[in-house]
Formats: sequence, C-alpha cells, structure tokens
Amino acid sequence: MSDIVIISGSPSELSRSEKLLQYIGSTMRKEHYSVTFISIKDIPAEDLVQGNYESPVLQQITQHIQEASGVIVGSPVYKAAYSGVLKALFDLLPQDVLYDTYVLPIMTGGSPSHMLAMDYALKPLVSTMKGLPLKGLYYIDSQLDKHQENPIIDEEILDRTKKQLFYFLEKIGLKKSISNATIR
Amino acid sequence: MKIIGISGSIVGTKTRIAVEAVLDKLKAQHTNIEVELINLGDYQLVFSDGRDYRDYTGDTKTVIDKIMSADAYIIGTPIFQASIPGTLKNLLDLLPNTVFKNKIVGMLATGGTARHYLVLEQQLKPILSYMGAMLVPKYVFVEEKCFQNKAIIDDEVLLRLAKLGNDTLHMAAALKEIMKTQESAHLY
Repeated sequence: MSDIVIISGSPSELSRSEKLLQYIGSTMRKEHYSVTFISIKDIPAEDLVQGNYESPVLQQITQHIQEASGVIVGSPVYKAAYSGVLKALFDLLPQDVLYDTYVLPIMTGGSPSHMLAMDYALKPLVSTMKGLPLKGLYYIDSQLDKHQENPIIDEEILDRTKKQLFYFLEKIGLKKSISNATIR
Repeated sequence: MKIIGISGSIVGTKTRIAVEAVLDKLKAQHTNIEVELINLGDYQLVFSDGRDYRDYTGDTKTVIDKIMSADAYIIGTPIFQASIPGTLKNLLDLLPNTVFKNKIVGMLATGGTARHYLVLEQQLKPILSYMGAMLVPKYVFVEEKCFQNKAIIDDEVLLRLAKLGNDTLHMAAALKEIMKTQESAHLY
C-alpha cells in the first residue's frame, strides 16, 4: 500500500506531463512518502481497447488506488480534454474507485487557452468516480523542459506547484510540508 | 437580412468595441444588410420573472422586440469569475426558449487572459444550443493586451473578427435558402 498513487495519462513516448509527474513523485519519495506510479503505457493496450475488466493489471491498479491516501491524476490536453487512453483506463475501474479520496488534477497544454479543460473535463471525471478534486495545476509547454531533472522551469508555476502539493499533503492527512530544499 | 450585435455587459467598453468591430466591418462590406448594436449598458433591463416575453414593458420590451426581429446575431461577452456575466444570462432568461430557432449566432469574448478561452465552449454554447441557435463553430477570444486607447490594435484579431461576421452572415444566408427549399417542398 502506498500513500500516494500517481496516474499518468500520456500515451506519448517522450512526454512532458509524464516527466513532470515523475518529478513530483520523486520529490514526494524524498519526503518519505511511498508513491506508486502508474503510467497508462504500462497497461496492456489490448486490456484497454477490449475493455477487459478481468485484467490482472487493472485489478492491481484498482487496489492501489483504493488503498492510497491521495491520488494525483495527470494528462496532457488533447482536443480540449484529457487524453482518450486516460479515459479508457477510468472506464474500466469501479465507479467509486476514488471514494472519499482527495485527487490533485494536473494537466499540460500547448497554450493557456485550454486551461479550463481541467475544470470542464478532468474534474467532473474525478467527481463521478466519487473523488474529491482539489484546485489542480495547469502547465503550459513553455513552462516545462522535459530534459531537465526538474522540468518546471517557470518560477511562478513552481511556486504554485509547491503550494498545491502542500495543500494536497495537508488534505490527505500526511501533514508534512515540502521543503524548499527538495523542490529546486 | 438583419444582424444584431449584443454586447452582454453593462460595465466596461471592451466587449462593445469588439462587437462594434464586427458590425462595422460587415456594414462596410455588405450594403444589403441591416446591422444594429444592442449594448446592454444603454438599457435598463428588469430581472426575468418568468412572465411571458410579450408582457414586459419599457427598455426590456424594446430589447426583446429588437432581438426577436433579427435573422442572425453576434453575441459578445466579457468573462466575469470564469463565466458569462449575469446581465447576459438575464437577457437570455427574458427571451422565449425558442428565440434562436433557425437563426445563426456568432460569439466573441473579451477577457484578461486566454486562460478562460473555454468558458464560451462550455457555458455559452450549451445555453444557445438549448435555445435553438445554429452556432458558428469558431468563436473569437480577444485578450486584454489586444486593446489600446479604446481600440483593437491586433491586426490578426481584427481579421478573425471580420471572418466571424462574414461566417455568421453567410451561414444566415445559406439557412434562408434551405428554409425556402424546405417550404417549397412542403417539408416544413
């Protein structure tokens, strides 16, 4: 059982959003939280496409999410919404899989224009799975450099990231602040 | 063909300026159409109380009658608290719910930053669709930085606004033809 489950909904091989989520995961680990990282790419494509509810991988994922204290869900913005594969995963999970669980939504997009995809697409999905969505973080591609160890290269969004992660940890009852030393 | 531009706010000038930019361009390019601006700031509308739309009086009646008489619309809205202003929603509430049936509506928004671009997609479009409107698919979002000295200074935005007006007009003209064909075929 992990404190935090991170779900990355990017199907892309070299993904900004996944790199960002991995970085967030590693900072949480440095703060001694246990983190389970689930990438959509680790799930057999046949299971997702064919809607295989019996898939052992999906059952394992369900268990991870149900036992987590908090969940971070990340996706790139595709066509003003979350990615189709992320939805394909949620379609196969029990509809109350996020029951009473705080969820930090994270999205990355090419321009500021689709920031509200988080409020109009991702948060309703979290709510319908009985999760409790927090404010969330939206990153514009130019604020990220996926080749850096810390991909967040914009100061302002880095500050917001720290604040949101702090709130997230506070909410899930693991009241430890993220020190400035950890996120650089 | 009558096209009405609606500026959906009673405060500020940017939305009115953007709607006017669309109407002015239309007027300059087409002599055979009638255009009119309804700037909500120029009228004292009452709150919708659920009565029949024909029973309102004064400014409220004037605005409702004007809107009922048009063939197509350019609806402009500012973004307040990541949503459309109450003044615009109240105007829509005052109208009968089929007011935009067989009419074309083009939309534009003005706002501080493009971060609220999807407000029209998710809030204004569903309301107008419910009210029967055929929507011009692409709307224009004019950011604050495009304005200077009470004018739009971004040429690309001005082009997009001109296109919005033309698309609205052409869709309205095409719809008229379709209606005519349907009538003559007794399908309608």
